[in-house]
Amino acid sequence: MAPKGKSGGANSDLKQEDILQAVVFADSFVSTFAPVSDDIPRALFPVANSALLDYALEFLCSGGVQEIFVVCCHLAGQVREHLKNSRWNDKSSPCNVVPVVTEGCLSMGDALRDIDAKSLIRSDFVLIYGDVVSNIKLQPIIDEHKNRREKDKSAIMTMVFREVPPGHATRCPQDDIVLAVDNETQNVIHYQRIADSDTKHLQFPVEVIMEHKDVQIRYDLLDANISICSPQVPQLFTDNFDYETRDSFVKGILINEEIMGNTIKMCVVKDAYAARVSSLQMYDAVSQDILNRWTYPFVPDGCHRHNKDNFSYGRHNIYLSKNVTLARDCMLVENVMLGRESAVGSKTTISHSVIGKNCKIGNNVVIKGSYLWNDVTVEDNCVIETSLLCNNVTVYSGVKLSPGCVLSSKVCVGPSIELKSGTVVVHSQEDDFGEGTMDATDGGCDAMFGSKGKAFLYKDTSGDDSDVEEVTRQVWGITIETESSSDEDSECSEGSESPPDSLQPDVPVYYTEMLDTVQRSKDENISCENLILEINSLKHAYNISIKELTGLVVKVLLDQPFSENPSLSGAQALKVLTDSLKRHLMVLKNYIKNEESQRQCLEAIEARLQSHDFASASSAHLQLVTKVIHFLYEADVLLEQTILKWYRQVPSNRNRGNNSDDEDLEDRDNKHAEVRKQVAPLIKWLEEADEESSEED
Amino acid sequence: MYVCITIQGSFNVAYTTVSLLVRIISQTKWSNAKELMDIVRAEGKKLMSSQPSESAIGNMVRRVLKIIREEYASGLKGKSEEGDPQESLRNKLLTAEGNIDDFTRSVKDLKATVIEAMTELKTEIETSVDNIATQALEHIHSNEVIMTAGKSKTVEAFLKDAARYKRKFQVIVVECAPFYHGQELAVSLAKAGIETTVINDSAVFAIMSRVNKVIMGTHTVMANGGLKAISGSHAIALAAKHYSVPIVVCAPAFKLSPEFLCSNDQDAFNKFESPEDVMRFSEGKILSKVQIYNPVFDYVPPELVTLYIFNIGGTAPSYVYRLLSEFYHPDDHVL
Repeated sequence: MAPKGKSGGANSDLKQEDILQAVVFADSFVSTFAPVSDDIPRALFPVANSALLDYALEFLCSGGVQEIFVVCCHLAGQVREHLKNSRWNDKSSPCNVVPVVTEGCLSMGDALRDIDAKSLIRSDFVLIYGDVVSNIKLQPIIDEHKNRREKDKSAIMTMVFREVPPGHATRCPQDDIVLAVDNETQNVIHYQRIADSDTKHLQFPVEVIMEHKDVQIRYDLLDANISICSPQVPQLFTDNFDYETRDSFVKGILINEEIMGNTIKMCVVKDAYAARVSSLQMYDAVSQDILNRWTYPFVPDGCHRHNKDNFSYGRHNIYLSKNVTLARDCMLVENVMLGRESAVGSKTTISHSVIGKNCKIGNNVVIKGSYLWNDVTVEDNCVIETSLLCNNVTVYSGVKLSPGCVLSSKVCVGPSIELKSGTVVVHSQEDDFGEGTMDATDGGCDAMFGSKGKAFLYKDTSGDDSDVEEVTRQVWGITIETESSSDEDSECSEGSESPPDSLQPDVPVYYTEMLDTVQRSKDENISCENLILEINSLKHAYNISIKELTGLVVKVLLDQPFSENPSLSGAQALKVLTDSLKRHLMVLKNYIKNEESQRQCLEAIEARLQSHDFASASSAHLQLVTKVIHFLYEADVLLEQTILKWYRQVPSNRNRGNNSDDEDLEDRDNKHAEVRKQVAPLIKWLEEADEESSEED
Repeated sequence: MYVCITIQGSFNVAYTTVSLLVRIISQTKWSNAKELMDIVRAEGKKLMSSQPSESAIGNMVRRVLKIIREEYASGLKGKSEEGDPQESLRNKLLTAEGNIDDFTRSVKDLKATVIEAMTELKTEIETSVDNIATQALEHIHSNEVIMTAGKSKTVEAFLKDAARYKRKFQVIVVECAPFYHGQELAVSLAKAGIETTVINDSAVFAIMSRVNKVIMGTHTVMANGGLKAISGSHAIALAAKHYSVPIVVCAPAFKLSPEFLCSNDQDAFNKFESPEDVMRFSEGKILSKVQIYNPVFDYVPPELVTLYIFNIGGTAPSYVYRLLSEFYHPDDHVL
């Protein structure tokens, strides 16, 4: 037996209980679906009129899993209630579904650590999110994993992917991944989420190519986050507190592959369906795939119904439940699903849509590509395109919803208004002072929602990942609207609503815009992650290249304290400046990574502090250069070699400053020399420190 | 209560259903035949709704109900309720009144006799394929060219049985896209030493002129003598009709269903599987612009079928209704 310690031994002792287990996260730990997910957990979203969680459980159950732990955090009560009332609680249920409430978990890592602490996992298990819809046959994959594990204990995880080529409707830019696989061993050697890197460039460690004979680099995979894990995986999560998500876990395992010897295998499925409802766009895509029966046998008219609704299946993928009232001259074009007791008025046209239970749809309505949850009322003459209407929404007559609208529960809008593309509407909001919530029923709602409207424009008050949502939502509306190719990254930006005339780089405007953003972030105390997101989206909006961006970010961060208080000088200025830099350290680290960006940063600092504002400045200002560089060095933003290289470099202005007159050039040269003079002590110190450390070695 | 997708094939479905009903009858509490029938009916409905297109479940539930009725009647009077199937109409009319009963009287040893009869039914299901196969020599003659479609266990056994007696014949197997079960059958037949040819579905008409007999399996035999068989069967049947080639359908009796087909869109008649087999999901953009269907079954009207071979012997389609009344009680047609 391999020297694997506790787990290996325990396993062999408990050989007789060969129960296949699974862990389902009924929480995604991100708020991509806010505000919709504020009162319904994502796992209970109705997808084709069944709770999302049930698809995941059915999938596991059909794969022979006998014991499922459902980890609930956000709105755990609702998930438990759902499980209690579902078929899974019946005596005849083929597998044992156990809700595990772990309140206060903020990440998947926390939840897995909790599971490890409760020692629920006894053998190899399946790990999925509660928003997976799949009909992959798990049994052969699990068998393969187990066989492999018997031979090689280090293969701790098998990741399951679905082959989906780029540009496919069921691919979401946020979830795009690239991975490198060793062809011989099927080991994953590099795993990268494209959305994480800001550029279109992908970076692979050299070892990927150098150390493996036969490497496959794949971009045609859809990661539904289905993984088969060995019992060591939760232990590894416990041992490493920095593993937050599966991505960070995978990264950690791959980095430590040589030390720990653990490997991750990959399994690509070609003939079955698997996708995660990770964003609104994916919600749309998965719902359509279900209506198109790709998920067979998990289709609305299949045997796997929980809510006792029997759907009948008709031509053109039309699914009708019981007691549906259809006017004689209404048109159900294709891919339509109507829930129990719903009614459709005359001359109404519905296509590519799912309509929930108890919905009332009036006359002359056009509904296209939209999702209406339960108890929704749509009055006459409305046009609803590519929108999501949650439970109990009322749309009064004559309303037009443009693509990408999201009406969260209990919202009323109309009559006779038009909502712009991508509008997100909520029923209540926190008032501006953050004290108590304003309810739309009290009146005082925005006039843009019509005379009978009970709604507010959604403002993200939680301040968490708001920009990610913004981007997602935009993408949902826009991709449907224009059917544009999804590789146009510039589309998924905040500015996509504005006319696309700002395609030329617009540095000065961008600079002021960014300055405002940074100022606001300070005033409103926005976290650095969000600031980065905002800067990134601005970058797209103004079409700024990444090279320019680094310089601009540094410039803005240096300018911000001065723009706030122009009279700052001397020690006070230094203090304010370092404070500001400290606060934005994460932002700086995000943009300043390689040597090139470090050099740009130094140049920006230099240029900034010698610009015309400071032309008259005394050496006090120039001293700031040293201090700032020293600070950045200490903070590991700048590396010693880069600083030294920069110090020795000839002024680069000379090469490109052709159009500026000689005097200016000379002036700059002087400045350059002056700056160098100022920095000299620091450089000297750096060099000495370097020598010392090398002596120590 | 969980007949899930893991049970494949009508034979397994029928056998499991009966085994399950035996367990239910022996383990649940009931005091008279009426209660028992209600239990069986309720459980039967549940089972049927779990797999609406598997008619074998319903058939078996009806058979069991019929068994209960018969055992009840014989327990009371010492003779079967319906008596001889060849009983005359006049006789039936006269005795019918006396037979009306609400099944509430207690009958001695009802449980034991019902379970015994059900065990017989299980044996009947088990031996049905062999019983059909033994009739092979009467239908397959020397040097004949036989066409078959898809993969049916019954047909496979039927053909192999004929080959066992050293009868020389040639089999043409239609592969039946997109499931390609035909290819599996061809491999199996070739291993048994039968001269086998695989053709694609579109070649059926071209090949039909040289075929002597079409022998097919089916999923269900409908009440009117029509077939619910693998998709593509109707085309084969029409081609056979055109060339006046006889169509012989091998079906165990448990596939005989009291269902009728009223319209082609009828609920639960057909089964639409994932379009994956027709067009790959990785195909990309085009998928959102097209509708892809992957139906499993086809309806073949009774006038295209020449002969049924049940495990109880050969029957013409027009005679199927008679068998129905023999197997199922008219009150049980709608559960």
